[in-house]
Amino acid sequence: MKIFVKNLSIISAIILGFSSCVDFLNQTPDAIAYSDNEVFTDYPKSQQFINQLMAPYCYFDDNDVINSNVSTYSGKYHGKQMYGLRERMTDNCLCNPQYSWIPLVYYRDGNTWDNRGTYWSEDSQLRWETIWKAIRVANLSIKNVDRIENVTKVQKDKILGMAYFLRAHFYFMLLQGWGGMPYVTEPLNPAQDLDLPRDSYVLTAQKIAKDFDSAAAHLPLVIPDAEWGRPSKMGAIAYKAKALIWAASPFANPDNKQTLWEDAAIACGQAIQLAEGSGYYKLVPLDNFKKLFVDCDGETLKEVLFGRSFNNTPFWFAPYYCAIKSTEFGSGQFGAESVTENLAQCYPWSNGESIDPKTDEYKHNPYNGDGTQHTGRDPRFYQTLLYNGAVTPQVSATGRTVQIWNKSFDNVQAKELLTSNGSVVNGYTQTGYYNWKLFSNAFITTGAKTNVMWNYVRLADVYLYYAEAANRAWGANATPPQDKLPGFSLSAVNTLNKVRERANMPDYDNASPNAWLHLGTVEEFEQKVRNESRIETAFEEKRFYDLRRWRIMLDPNVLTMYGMYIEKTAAGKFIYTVTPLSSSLNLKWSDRFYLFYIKNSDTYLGHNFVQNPGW
Amino acid sequence: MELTRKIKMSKSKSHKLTNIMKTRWLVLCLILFVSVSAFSQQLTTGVVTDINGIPLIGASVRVDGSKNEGTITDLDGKFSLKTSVKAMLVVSYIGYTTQMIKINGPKVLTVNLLEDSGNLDEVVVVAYGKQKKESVIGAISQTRGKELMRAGVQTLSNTFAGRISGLVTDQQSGMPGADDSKIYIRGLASFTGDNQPLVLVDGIERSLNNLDPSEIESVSVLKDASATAVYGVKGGNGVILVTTKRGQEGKMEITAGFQQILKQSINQGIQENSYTTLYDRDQLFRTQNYYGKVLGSEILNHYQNPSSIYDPYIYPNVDAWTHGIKPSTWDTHFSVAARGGTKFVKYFITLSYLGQTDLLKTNQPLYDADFSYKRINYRMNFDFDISKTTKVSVSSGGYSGTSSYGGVQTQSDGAKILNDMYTQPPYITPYEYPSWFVEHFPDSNYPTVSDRVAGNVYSPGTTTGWYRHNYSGTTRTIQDRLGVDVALNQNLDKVTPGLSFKANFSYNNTSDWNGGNIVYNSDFYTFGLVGNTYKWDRYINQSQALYSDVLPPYQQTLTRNSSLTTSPSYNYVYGGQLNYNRKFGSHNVTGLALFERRISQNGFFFPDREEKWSMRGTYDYKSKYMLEATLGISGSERFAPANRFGYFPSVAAGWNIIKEDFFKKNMPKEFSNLKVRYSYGETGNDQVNDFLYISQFTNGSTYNIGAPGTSQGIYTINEGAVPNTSARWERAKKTNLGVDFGFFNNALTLSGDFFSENRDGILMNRNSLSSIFGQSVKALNIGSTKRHGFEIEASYLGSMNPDFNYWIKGNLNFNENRITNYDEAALAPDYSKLAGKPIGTIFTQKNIGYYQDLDEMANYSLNQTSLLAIGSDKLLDFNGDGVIDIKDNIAMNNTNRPDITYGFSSGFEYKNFEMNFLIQGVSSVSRNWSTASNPMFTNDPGDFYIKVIGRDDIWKPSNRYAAYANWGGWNPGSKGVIDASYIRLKSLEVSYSIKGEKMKQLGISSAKVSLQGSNLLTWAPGYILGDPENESTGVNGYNLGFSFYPIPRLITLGIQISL
Repeated sequence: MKIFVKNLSIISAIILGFSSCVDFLNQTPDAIAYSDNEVFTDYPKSQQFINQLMAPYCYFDDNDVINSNVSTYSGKYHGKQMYGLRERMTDNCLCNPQYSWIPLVYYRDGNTWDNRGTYWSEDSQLRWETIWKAIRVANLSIKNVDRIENVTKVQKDKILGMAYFLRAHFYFMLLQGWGGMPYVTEPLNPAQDLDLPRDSYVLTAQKIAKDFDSAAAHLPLVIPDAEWGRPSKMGAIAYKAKALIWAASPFANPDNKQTLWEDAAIACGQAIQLAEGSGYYKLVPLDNFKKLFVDCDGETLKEVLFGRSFNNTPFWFAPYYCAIKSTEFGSGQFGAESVTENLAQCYPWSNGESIDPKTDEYKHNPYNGDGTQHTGRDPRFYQTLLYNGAVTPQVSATGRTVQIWNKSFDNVQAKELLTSNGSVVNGYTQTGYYNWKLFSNAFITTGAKTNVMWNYVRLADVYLYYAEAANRAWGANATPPQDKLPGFSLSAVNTLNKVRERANMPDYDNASPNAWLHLGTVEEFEQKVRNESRIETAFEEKRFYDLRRWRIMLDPNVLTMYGMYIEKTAAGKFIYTVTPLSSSLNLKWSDRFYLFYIKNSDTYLGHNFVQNPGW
Repeated sequence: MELTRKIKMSKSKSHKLTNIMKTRWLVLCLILFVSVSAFSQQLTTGVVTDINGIPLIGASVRVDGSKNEGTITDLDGKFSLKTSVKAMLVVSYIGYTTQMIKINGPKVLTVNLLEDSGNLDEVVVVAYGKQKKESVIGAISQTRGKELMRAGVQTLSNTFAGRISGLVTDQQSGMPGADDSKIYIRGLASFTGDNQPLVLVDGIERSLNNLDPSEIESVSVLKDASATAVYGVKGGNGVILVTTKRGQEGKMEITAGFQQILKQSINQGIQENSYTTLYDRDQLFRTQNYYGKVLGSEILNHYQNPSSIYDPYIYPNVDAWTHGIKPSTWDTHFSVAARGGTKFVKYFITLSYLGQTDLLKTNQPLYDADFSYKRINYRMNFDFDISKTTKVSVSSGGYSGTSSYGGVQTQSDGAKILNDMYTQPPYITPYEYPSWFVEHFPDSNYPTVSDRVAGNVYSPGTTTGWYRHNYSGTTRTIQDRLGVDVALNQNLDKVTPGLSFKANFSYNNTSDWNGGNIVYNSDFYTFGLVGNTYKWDRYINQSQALYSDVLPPYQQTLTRNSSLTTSPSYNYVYGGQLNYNRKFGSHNVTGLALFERRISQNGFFFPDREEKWSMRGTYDYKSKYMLEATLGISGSERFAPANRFGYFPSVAAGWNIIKEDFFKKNMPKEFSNLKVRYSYGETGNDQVNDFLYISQFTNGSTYNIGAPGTSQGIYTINEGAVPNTSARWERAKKTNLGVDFGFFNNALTLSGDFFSENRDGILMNRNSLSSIFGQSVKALNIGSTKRHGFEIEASYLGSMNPDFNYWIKGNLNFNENRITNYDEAALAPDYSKLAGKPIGTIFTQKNIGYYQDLDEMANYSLNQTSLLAIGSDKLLDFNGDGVIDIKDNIAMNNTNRPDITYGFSSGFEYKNFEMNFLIQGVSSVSRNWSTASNPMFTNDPGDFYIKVIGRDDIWKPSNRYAAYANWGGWNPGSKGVIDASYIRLKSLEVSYSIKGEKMKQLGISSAKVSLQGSNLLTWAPGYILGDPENESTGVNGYNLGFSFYPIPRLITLGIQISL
């Protein structure tokens, strides 16, 4: 026994002797930049953390292309890859077959490439994942905001405002693409079961609206110039209205519930009230319409309530190259989009009268009228489309106008539409039109820089949303109930006319001698709002989701594409024939395309997080 | 291995020593000769050894008939005892027959004790010590270095296959300097990490391949938890203990060995000649309607019947294999060792050299494009007896290895060279044109052409095969490894009898030096028909522009390459241990308490730090009932503070039934051993990523915001993968039940071990991580597996007469595993889930024959993406979704690791003649060729070739059930999962020893001449081409089995001389 005690004491002594060195293992590599604590207790770092959501790729609703280097997006086509414009997946335009791999979208089941018909692909999972990542960043910022040391309320508000706003923004992106989602408001535990039940579309929209309310409480009404691009209170309130419009629209609201429309109308009304009462926000004049998108200046900011500005950006592709392909102005240009006749016809004559393509006037003078019946089209037409006879600074400099014709009496090829054996050469317009709205008024040279803007919601949108919702809630001509919208007296038609007035288009008015300016029934008025929306916001990526929320994706008028076949018959004389495009260019949609496909690996986790119908 | 467990018994009179004799597992294995110091007249002194001269520590020496007059032998087996001038001494030791010695006057006694029975003397190297085999209760296999030398292979890990039970080995390449095997003890248990065991050379983590087989004393493989628990977190995949030779007291013995090794390539897959190949190609073009590419009989006739001396150069028939690969080459190995010692210092010094040469033909006169490996190993092991109670060991060893590889930038690129040689068409332009040919076809554009190298006209400019080897330069690396160990052994009998202390320090340095790549321009000419005229064409490989350093080797200077991640690398280990070993009556008690730290700096990575606190206690009663308990405590900085230390307990019990009286009485005499062993314990696996518990936030890109006309950069910080804050070790719970039998005085032994293991906490990425989570997550301790199996070993040692001894040995090992928990999506179809399937399960589509006609193709084509032809492989749309894709992959029966391995060896000695052989095999294993390109012929009509063995069995309308699909139709799915079972005559050795007076006059005490063969015969019925052991995975579409340097056949002529 004695021996054991002795042994034990020796062993213990040795162990004690070493135990002082347990710190031996207490080391952490310094190669890893910051710890959780370093980031979330420090104000500048906390701000930089939420700042990552300012990355262009994150902000933008465009990332449907495979691109391993998404962070290089800025400086491309409105911050998009030049081939990423989602408008090409609508009836407004199609991308030129020269880039038939554009947009990089193919059938989800099967590997058939298709440049138009279907939208979703496994590759869009990049965007799907990016959005959820952004939501986690917002949640981490909200959760950790109280850990920040030595922080003022203003600084905290800046973080919280951004976090709530961007969480709502990214949920809205999910909503319009994939439908209702589990509304995650906390950073999730990595070990937990992630098969979360999906909220309904409407409930998700309402939660988004609530987040925008929270954001508004922390954000300033107007963002100072130096910080522009961060969300404002105005942006939050307007975006909230947008979310509630989505909840009230036919896709989410098939039973046409009045309350949803009313909620949306109230939110829109509040946004208009806030904007008009601000003394700052207003519609830009018609002359500046294109400056909302390109060659932007300070004026632009008055109308864009939430957007992202790319300033002094070298545009390799966009302003010059993408707009138009021409035999005259060197190689490397692409007419990125062929704009459809479907869209062109939506622009009425300047007196507001709709286009009748069967008329001789349309056959010979579709863009300016024959001067007897009509003297021109809706002014926005000229700001949005490039057409045969259009005037652009560079073309004018060579003493001509834009030349788009398929065939000429003297067999002279048009400079902006090259044909070979009677068919259009790849890269030139298939439809007789090019996209002009997003491109600089000057044909600027490669590498030249300009300011471009991408907007998520602008004041004109809010006027149109209000018109849409108030028409359904209370009627087109009705003043809103004062208990719901105190101090607000605009009717649906009033706000619609505000948009038209800016475009120098005549008001809708039941008193007008022109029947086409009468309001009509609720449904007829709604059609007018929708058409106004389509022409006002063409190429702003709004049509893509409007087709969904209005539940009109499968309308035969939407699916069938038309272009203009143009024949030059004598000097200055043309015959314009509206022609259906090759059926391969028609949209091939079915019911399931209303919502995107969700990555299988996310829906296979259990029975709660379910796949969208049809996939 | 140091002499770690020496116990020196006190000679203090206050202790009655006669009872404290039977130390068991701490027996010294040092070979020692006796040198007796001066003694006084009243003392009788001597040394007690076994018949091999190994000193027996703690042997009892007492005067017959006396109860008090006695002592036990010390650390060196020595004793001194007061006796009368004439007395009878009784010398006894457990496991040995007791001897009576008559003292007649003062004299130094040397007592050689004979063993009680055949095998019991064997000493087994165990964790931090040694045990007599009788007392071992863990699952341990041990092999002597001598045995491994029989393999005739100079890469240590390649000597294990079939010789050590419980191992799965896998030699993946025969490339000089990179021909080592992967070793899996009892198969796989984890699906992360590489499942490699912990390898300790003299107790320190070092690579097996740093060693020359001639410096190995023994290799011990620890398999179960009781044997490995002291290694804590590192023991989960088993442990291999390599002990190097050490000095022994006595005159210097010099041993020199020289081996000349004939290395042969094993050619498989001979191609058809040009004519046949082109004939077949024409046929295929016709069936595919490529009439424009058909050569026609007129041209083919030139290939078949050359009509002029020029035809063989214009219509060549080139066999890339024989042109590119030598039938054989010579490797060289020699070693010289000196071993000896005095009372104060014992030493073992060795130097050895290995030169491995290339099987590829080299023709580049300007520099050496060979693949080669030259290694010099050195070792100096010294043991100093500083005092009677203090020993110091200083050991150092290492090697310097120089690898060269030609034509490629990395060693794995070498695969391409081999692949090219297997797949180059025979009808390409010849490699060289003789000058008379060049003169006959003068070309004003290339007037200087003379004996120029030609190129592959079908892919001009790409240097394939032989060109790649000879004209793409060479790379050299030198690896220096040095390890220095210092150990101090202090006997602490003065504190309490049976206690000793050991302190050790080890430093290991790794230096890699990288030679610049020498890259030459490929500049060659081809001759052929262009339009209607024959003319020369020149091809210049532009890739040389990538490398500026174009110098012949003698102008190259080796520079330390700081970009190499392995440089500078070093590690050091220090620690101490207390050992206790004492006998109380019939009760033997031992104890071990251990502390060790290791700091490992690997290149410029963050250094690894490990700390270990382990203890072990054993108890036995009369060597009949044995108990052992171990607690391994391991810590590492890789884990969160709360989880840094892992606790790994184990318990084991053994019962020597043979020692029970009832057994002895009732069983026949032939029954000489019966022991039952059982162990249960936990160990860990640390082959995981570090710092899983740390969150990582890093600076992100800068973005500009601001209104038009302004611009402000904003900085961002991004979150990295979300940490696993409770990250911990992978944990293995192991059970082992062993039974050992012995018969005929243990001439016949049989032992079986049955094991099972449950492993949990396997770190894996969350596969069921939804995108909703919004971030990637570091590995979580989610996975679990189980495995079980058995090993059976048997041996028989026989003797016809004193001149003829023979032996037979065999082992059979079976293991299988299942993944029991794997994080995967709940709703994923079961057939695609990994859980429930073995680790490494091969998934592929099921082959259901061929598309026999157009109707079948039309009805079943199902969006199959590849171009279909009649006679293409047809795959099953398993999930019935109308598409054949990855979702139709189903699990194949076998994995790419064998479930069954076995070895059978036998040998005999007749006088000076000796012969032995080893047959080794594996079973229940497959290789997945389904993603590789067609082994029989290419799908590319430009580089067409056909293997002789495949030609007759390609799908044709007349051969609808052929082995191989038609041209263009190779998409084999499950048919490409090939049975890789094999049986191999792994080694065969014949040797003759020369001894005798004449030799002695020459100063040679013994000499031995031997002839050894390795990989002599292989029988692999399921394997068509290549080497079944060669586990290549078809990366980049290279044919499996060809991808790496072939495993060669070696025939070694060796001479060993001892002075």
